[in-house]
Amino acid sequence: MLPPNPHSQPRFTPVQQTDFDALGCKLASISHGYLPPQIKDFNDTNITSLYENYNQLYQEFHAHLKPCLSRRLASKLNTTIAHSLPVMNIGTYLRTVSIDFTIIQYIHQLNNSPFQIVNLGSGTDLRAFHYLPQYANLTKFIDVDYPISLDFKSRAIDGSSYLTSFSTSRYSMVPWDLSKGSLIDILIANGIDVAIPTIFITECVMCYLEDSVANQLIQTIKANFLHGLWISYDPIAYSENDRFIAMMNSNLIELRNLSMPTLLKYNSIDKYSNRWVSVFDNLIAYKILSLWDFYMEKLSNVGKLRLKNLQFLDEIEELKLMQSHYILLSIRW
Amino acid sequence: MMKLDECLELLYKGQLLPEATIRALSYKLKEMLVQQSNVIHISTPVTVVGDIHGQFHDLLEIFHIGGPVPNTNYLFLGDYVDRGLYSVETITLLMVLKLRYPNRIHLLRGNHESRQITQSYGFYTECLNKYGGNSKVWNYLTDFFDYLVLCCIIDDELFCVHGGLSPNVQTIDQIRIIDRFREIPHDGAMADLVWSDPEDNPIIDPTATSEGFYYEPSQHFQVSPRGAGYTFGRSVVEKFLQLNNMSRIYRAHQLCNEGFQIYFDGLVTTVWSAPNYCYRCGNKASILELYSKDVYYFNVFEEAPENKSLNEGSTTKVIQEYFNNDNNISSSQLSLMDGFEAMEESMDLFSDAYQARSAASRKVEYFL
Repeated sequence: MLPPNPHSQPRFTPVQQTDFDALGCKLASISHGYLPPQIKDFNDTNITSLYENYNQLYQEFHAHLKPCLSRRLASKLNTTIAHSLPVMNIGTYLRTVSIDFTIIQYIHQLNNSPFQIVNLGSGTDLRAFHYLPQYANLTKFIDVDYPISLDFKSRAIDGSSYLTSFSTSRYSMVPWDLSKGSLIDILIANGIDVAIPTIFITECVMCYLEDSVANQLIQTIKANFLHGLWISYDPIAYSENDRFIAMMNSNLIELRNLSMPTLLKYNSIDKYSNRWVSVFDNLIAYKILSLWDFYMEKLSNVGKLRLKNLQFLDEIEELKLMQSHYILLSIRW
Repeated sequence: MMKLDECLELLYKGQLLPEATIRALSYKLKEMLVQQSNVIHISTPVTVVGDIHGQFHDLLEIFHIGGPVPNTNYLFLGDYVDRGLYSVETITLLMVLKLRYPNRIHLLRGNHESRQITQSYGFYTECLNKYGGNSKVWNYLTDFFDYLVLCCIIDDELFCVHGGLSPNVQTIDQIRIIDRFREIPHDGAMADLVWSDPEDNPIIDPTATSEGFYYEPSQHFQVSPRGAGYTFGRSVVEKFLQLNNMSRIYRAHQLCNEGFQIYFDGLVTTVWSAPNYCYRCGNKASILELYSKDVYYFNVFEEAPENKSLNEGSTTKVIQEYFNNDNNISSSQLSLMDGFEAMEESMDLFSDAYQARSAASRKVEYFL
């Protein structure tokens, strides 16, 4: 099979391109040894069994992705992987692990009863491929994203017999545009049962949606799914005068033509979480914390030391500043 | 003397000096610095400058607001390179100024003036990018770093160092006997001086009374949350200052949102001189203008209105434009891609230098 002609590469929008940033960051974090987490990284929970084939998964994926990449994109990914700074690698570790950490705690209290996962705006994330083998009671895992993004992802997967072996009937890729309606119909059509506990993941997704679209999504899921867990990872402002966020906003617009419509509106953790709390009148519990708090509270001293020693972390203030401006919300209903 | 002035003219315009010149500058400076003690003594008036980290435009801004060398005396507290995109321009300008006006500008060593750190934080890559894969510019400059002095005492009572104090150092004489002409070690006095931090939050007392937790400042050095060095509290500082007949410590090393940070009622102050650090922190910066030991002013400033790029070779510029346009690839820009591919044929795509070139147009990074 000939590699695709780069001149006929599909055109990704600025939002769709953020998937490549996330992928580059993840590959970098793996290549430098931050991911997968190690057994002593956390004080009270051992999550390492979830990551048994992690390195192999991503190596395979990266290897089979390369023929699909334009030279420009390949070079961009290589640069990210080779030159990624400690603050970014640790941040990627925190982003990835905090989501898995939260999901695992939820799954444990389900006591082997069936559940589903819907990864909204999944991009090239490969969570399905290490969750499905681990949990027999995970009846369905669906990746939802733009057609162009899922097409890109499946080209890499299809090229690898190792990766295609993970594509059981329990896994579906559902091409869909989050700003259009009838998400529920298409999920149901792909085997989702609205009566079973369902985990929704929005990892840097809500931040790109228009306010009305985001609210619509929250309403729709609340209205249709009886039980579940929603995990949302996003950047956050703390006030009108948050300089870091103001700089982020203008940098992204100027350098990437990327806008985050609700970033300046929900400028406190209460305002952010209230988007769900005000809708989920049946909520059981919710928690919102910054990734800095997660780093400080959840990681063991051994874990923190391991991360720091991988690449000689110098910039602890910068790490704190950045990680404080990203939050993880988990809401159970 | 003439050659140094020519260098200055080029440098102030943001131009790169030839590799052979950098080699000569390094040698000359090592000759000068080898004669200097680890601890230098200077007098006010002097302006103290914290971390610069390759933010060359902001260094020029510092000379605008603080006054040019030699009209104003300067003490730089280290961390000239890494993170910013113009570390080479920054350090070479300071080197030429030091050779040209040796008594008007003084340079301390920061923890980033190190071979190990500069390989992770950008300086090594920048040298490759600007001078090519076969150049030895990084080697010349990191060799020169080995000769930078470790600390400075102003008016016999203001102790200045990049990081902070060390459990291995009680007296100034103990600093004087260190062999500094080497790569910064992982531990020991020399490492601590460039890595340590004042205690920000006092440690929580685990044996709290029934009233609940109370915070007690530590009496001793604590292990630092960074890669190296220690944190030290007020009583450690008081002991050190008293024993050595000094009144205050000025240091840098830690990002300050407002440009400077005062600890322990003024016994320790951090000066930070890189505004909007890494183009994303949104912080202010400052320089400390010391008129006399008791009269001083924190001159706070924000990011300089930046020229988008300094004078660079046309090849690099075209590549930069290409990468800057990577959001807008469309059929109408096929011609740009064709042009790029034609150029690529004469370039080794897999070389360090080529990869480093794309890193030069590195965008500001966020978690997206």
